[in-house]
Amino acid sequence: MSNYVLKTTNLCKCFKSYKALDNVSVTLEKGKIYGLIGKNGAGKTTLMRIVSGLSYATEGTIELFGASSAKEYNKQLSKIGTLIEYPSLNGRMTAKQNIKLVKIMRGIKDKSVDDELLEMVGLGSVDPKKKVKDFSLGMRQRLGIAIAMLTNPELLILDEPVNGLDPVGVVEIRNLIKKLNQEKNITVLISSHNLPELYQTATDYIIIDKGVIKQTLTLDELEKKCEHYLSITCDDPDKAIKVIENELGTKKYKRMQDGSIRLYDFVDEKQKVSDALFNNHIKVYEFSRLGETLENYFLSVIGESGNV
Amino acid sequence: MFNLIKAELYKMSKMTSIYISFLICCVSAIGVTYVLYGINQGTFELEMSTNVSLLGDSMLVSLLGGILSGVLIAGDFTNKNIHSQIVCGKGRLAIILSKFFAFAIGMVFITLPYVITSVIGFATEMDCHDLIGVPSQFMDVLTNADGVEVNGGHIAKAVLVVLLIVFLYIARLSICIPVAFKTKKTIPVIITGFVSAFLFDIISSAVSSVDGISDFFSALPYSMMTECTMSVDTEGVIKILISGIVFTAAMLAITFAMFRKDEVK
Repeated sequence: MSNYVLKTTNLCKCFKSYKALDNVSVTLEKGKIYGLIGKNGAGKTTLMRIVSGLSYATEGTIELFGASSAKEYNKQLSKIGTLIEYPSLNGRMTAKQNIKLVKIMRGIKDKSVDDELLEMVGLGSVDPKKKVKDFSLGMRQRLGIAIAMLTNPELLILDEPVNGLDPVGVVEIRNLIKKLNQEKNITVLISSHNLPELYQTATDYIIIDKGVIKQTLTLDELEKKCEHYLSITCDDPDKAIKVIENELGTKKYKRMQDGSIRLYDFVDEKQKVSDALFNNHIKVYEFSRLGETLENYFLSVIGESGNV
Repeated sequence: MFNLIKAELYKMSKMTSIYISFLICCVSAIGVTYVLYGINQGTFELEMSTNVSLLGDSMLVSLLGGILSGVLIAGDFTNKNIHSQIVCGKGRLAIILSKFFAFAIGMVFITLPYVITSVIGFATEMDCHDLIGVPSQFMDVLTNADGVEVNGGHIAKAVLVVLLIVFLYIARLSICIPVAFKTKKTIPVIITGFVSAFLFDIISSAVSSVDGISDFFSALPYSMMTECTMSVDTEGVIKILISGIVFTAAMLAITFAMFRKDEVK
């Protein structure tokens, strides 16, 4: 059996003359957390909606758990949990009644799951008689996540799940997603405007802009791209390298073509590095801490500055 | 699909509007019966019959049925409950059918007061005056407008006739289903439910002299309602059933054609 849960090939979505998705080909492997990053209108939600069966692609193919025909695809949809844009909730009902409604739909008979889920998303102490229409945005979001997880999905699609959550809620949901991923091996596709938050959650990243996938990369690759380093320009780079290796005891450096040295270790111990160079009579012309911020890196991939 | 129907029924059980609708139908069915009985007893003037005819089923059921389909179907697009139904993976046809069956059950519930009063009124030979004004098939059964002898067989037939009336109401109001799935808004659905019957009467009258078209209109559930009387024969019952089933199937087919690849916001 294939190791991927979702595979799209040259997926296109047009709204009249507007191309919301343009030849999108992505593969989501089992057990990973994918962060979908893009500006407003980049096509994140459109992609998620197509995967969830709420919308249809104009061109291209899409395979969910290996199924691509409409009938088989529909069957596989029951293996996913979604929270697209806003939680699908019935305002006239309480949290438990909303959960019960989805349980009936899905044929889930386990009664204990309601309290467990509500507790898990931090709604355990909410007045059981309180109607969802009286919930705050954050509470609705939490309930939406609880409902998305109701069926023990193999793929969880979360569109801006931390929208409206307080900082504590953001951390709780992040931990919850990570826990589900680690303990139940659930694959997660998550979009967020909060890049530092996504950085702490995702294991892989998909950068999308104007309906085009700009880049897909792992957390390691991303960390490398955003890695901070000390840039050293001096009169004797060979000697400086010896000092770095022998006195500082690290080989995490790179000698650049212009003769400068990038030291990826001791980034937060500049004093120690400068003392070592000075004590060995090396004249340092330039000594600075450089590196991309996560936001800057994404903006550079997208090729502009703006609202990510 | 059974789970989807159960979920729709659970959702409906939490809707205040369906209980209010039921209550309104109870009050109006009992109220009309009481007034028609009172006219024959001399308690009320004959003119009262015209006034209470506005509370009859033809107006009320069209309105409340429209509200029911609007809240039940279009409401799911507003609160995004439709997302959960789609992600269930049962397919869009199953969603349409489950909503239709839930709607039909809701309609049976709403019309229940008319069904019960009509059958009881007929079976007990209640001395009621004929309804004057807006016609009502239920009241025609209640008042025994056809003047048939009341016996076991005819009581059974009265039950069949009132069930056929309910069936035709469901078929007529199935026109709300494609509107609900297309507009995804409650108000147009309610308007469609309420106005369609009156609109049909106008169009039907306008084309009554045109061969072919008038035959088509007379075969629709709107016209078939007048056939639902105690004098209906087996052939009439079959016609009513075919008319209702074909019309409903057509509405569901139109809905599926529109919704199968529709964007769900």
